[in-house]
Formats: sequence, structure tokens, C-alpha cells
Amino acid sequence: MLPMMHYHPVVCTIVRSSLLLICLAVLLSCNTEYKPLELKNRYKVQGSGLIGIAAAEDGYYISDGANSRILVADGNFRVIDSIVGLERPMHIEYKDGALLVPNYGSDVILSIDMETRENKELQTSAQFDAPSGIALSSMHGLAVADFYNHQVQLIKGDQVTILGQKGTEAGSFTYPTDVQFVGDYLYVADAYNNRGQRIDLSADPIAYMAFGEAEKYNAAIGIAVTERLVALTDQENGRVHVYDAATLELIQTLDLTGHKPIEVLWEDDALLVLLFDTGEVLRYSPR
Amino acid sequence: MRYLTLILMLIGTMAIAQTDKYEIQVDGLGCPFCAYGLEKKFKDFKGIKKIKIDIESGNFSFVRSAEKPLGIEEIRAKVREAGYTPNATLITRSTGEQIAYDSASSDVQITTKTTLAVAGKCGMCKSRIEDAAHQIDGVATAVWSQDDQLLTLEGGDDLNISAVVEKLLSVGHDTEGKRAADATYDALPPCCLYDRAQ
Repeated sequence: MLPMMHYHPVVCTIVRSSLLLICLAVLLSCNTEYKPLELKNRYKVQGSGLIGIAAAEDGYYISDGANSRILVADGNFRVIDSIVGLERPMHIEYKDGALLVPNYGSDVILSIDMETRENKELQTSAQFDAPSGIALSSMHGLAVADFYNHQVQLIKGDQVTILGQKGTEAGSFTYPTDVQFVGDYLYVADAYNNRGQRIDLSADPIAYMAFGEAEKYNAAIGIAVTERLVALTDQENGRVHVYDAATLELIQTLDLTGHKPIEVLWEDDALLVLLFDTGEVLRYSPR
Repeated sequence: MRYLTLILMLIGTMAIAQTDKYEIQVDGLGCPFCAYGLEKKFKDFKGIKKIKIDIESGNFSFVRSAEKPLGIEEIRAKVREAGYTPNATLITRSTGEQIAYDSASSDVQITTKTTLAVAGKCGMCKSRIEDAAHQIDGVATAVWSQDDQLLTLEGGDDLNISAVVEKLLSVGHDTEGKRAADATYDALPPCCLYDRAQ
């Protein structure tokens, strides 16, 4: 029989705490390990011409650029309603009951109350030429990808900050199409510079970092980000690239040869990819 | 009530009859941002309605009041001004008269064949390059290959290669080691911004 060992309570507490910390570290390391995405579901929404997607409380809103409307879909992407009378709505954003719609054809941003369906134009001194993507941050305000002006406009209250100008250097854009916030970072699909850009809004001066140039994009159109991952569509090459958000290094490429992925949306660890050419949504989940 | 319906129908018929219909085929509109950009530029023509654009086929059409008729060259020039290339074009006037333009027709006798290195990127580039070459007298056929970056020309004895090169540069495509003006290149539609040799 083994002898009973008795330790001082402080030692026991230290040992227990250490064990807990080790378990926590193991758990965290398991969670941060990237599990490659694989195709799990395909949903047919309509023929073609869909451009943007936003998650709602119990379904999705999808911008139908071809028919200048917003489709209201349930959780299985069955269209149950639509909002018509828009002018080429592009990449949309939904927050707190309001759907924000960049009207590419009329240079205005609409805010649609999805409860009452009332819509109002964003009142701002900012002037757009084909707004193509929009994102809202409680900290930084509204960001708009301003396609023909080759810039991103940041609107907070009455203050409008113009980010970038036409060009190819980091901090310059060529036809930006989509924007997304994560904390102090603003990510931009710098479509026809064929790359993404990450803007650190907390830096002074604001810092820009380009990424994805090695992937030889042909039209980097739609972007989605989480704290850990960035997905960017390579529309004309039929690919979606996934990057580590910390390092901006490529970690996976989803091959969609023959299709035109135009938009991406993260749902926890799953990625939704919208195909412009077939009007389908593909759901990728970790293996 | 019957009279009212008849009157409304008559007014409707008159309204339809008083518009001209414009149909243009624009090659290679692969991306919605380009396609809807073209549509946006056409809004400079005030009062255009029933705009339809099919991205895959490149078919673009609209109607406008017959009191404000547009000419065939006017609308083709507008397409070019927006950076795109007009192909077959048809105007149907409210009277039923049709005015057509078909860029594919040529009556040049082929005696010469040559190739030029021309930079481009996409279907819209192809259309623009071939259309520009066709605008030069003596060119019978012009076929650009995206894979080879080569333009194959067939034409008559008077085929003027220098004129073709200058025309291609004027529409933004680097040709035979010569660079188009930066401003012209920058004005190409987004899909067409090919990588330039340094």
C-alpha cells in the first residue's frame, strides 16, 4: 500500500492552478488550430445576378443586382419576400434591424428598416460615384467602398474621412468593391489592384497593409473577416482564398473553377460563398 | 367605364409608339460592376427608360422619347467613351424605321496576313482591340488571342500596320513594345487593367 502524501494547502492550490492553466492552454491551442474548410451544402437561390449577402435574425438578405431588389430568404435560402425599386444594390450590411444598401446606380446609401420596410437615404456630405460595399462599426462609423472614385469613405456623424486615392501602392485603391470591420481594422477588397488591404484605424497616421498579391487575383471582389480569418473572392479565377488574420498568410484556397464567387460571409467557423453566375450559396464548414 | 378603358388603352399605345428603342451588343461584359457602370454612364442621356442589360450576352437596350432621337454614332460613341466596345447596334424608331450597324461586315480582298503583339486581359479587351483594328481601312479580319497576346490581321494590299498600331495605342493597349498613354490606360474599364511591361 502506498503511503498517503500530505502537502501544504498553498502547494495544492498552486498545483491545481497550474493544471488548470495547462488545460486551458491545451484547449486554446486546439481552438486556434485551423481546420480546413470543405463544401457541406449547396443552395440554389435564383438564376444568376446575386451580389451581396447579409445574415438576418432568422435568415438572410441577398442583394439581387440584376433585378435591382433585395431578396429576403429563410435559413435554407428559400426566397420568401423581396424589396423592389432599388438601383443595382451591391454588397450590403445588416445591423440592429436596419439593412444598409449601397445603390450603385444612383450613388446613394439607403437604410431600410426591415420591420416596417421604410427606407431613408443616408444624409451625408459625402459624395459617391457608384458605392459598391458598406460596413458599420460602433467605434468607427460607416465605411463605404466608393468604386469609381477609387477610395473608401469613412462617415462618422458629420465627419467624413477619405481613405486612399487611385493607385497601386498600399494605401491606394483601384476600384474597391467591399469593406468589412473587425475592431480597429478595416479590410478592403481592392478589386482591380487584385488584392486585399487592411487599414489600421487606431494607428497614427492610419496604416495600410496590402495582402494577397502572390495569389495573382483577377478581381478581388468580396471580403469577409473574423478575429481569426479573412476570406477574399478571386472572382474571375473562380477561387476563394482564406488568410490567417494575424499574419495575413494564405492558409487555404477553395477551388471554384468555372464559377464567379462574388461574396463571402462567415458564420462562426463556416463560410458562405455566393456565386454570381449560378445564383447559388455554398456553405463550407471545417472538416 | 368602357370609354375610360379605351381612352387609357389609346394613351398607352400612343406612349409606346412615341419611343425609340436602342439595342447595342457590347462584348465581354463579364463583371456586374463594369456592366452596371456602362448603364450608369448612359444615364447622361436624360429620359432613358426600360434599361436592360444582360451581362453574359452583352445585350444592352433602352427606350427614349422619339422627340429626343439619338443617332447611331452618338450611342456608339457613348459606349466607347465609357471604355467599352459597341458591336452590332440597332435603332428602331417609333415609326418602325430601323437603323442598323454591324461591325463584322467587310468587303476587303485578303492579300496580306500579319500578327502584332498586343497587351490585354479579358473578353472586353479582345472586343476593343478587334474593333479598333477594324476601324482602319484595309483591315478585313482582326482576331486577338488572350492566351498568345497576339492580334492576327488579314487585309488587302493597302493594310496599314502603323495606323493599326497607333489606333490600338489610342484605345489603351500597349502594342509592339509601344506604350499607350497612361491616362488612356487608366480610363479602361476595371476588368481590362492588364499588367503592363515596365
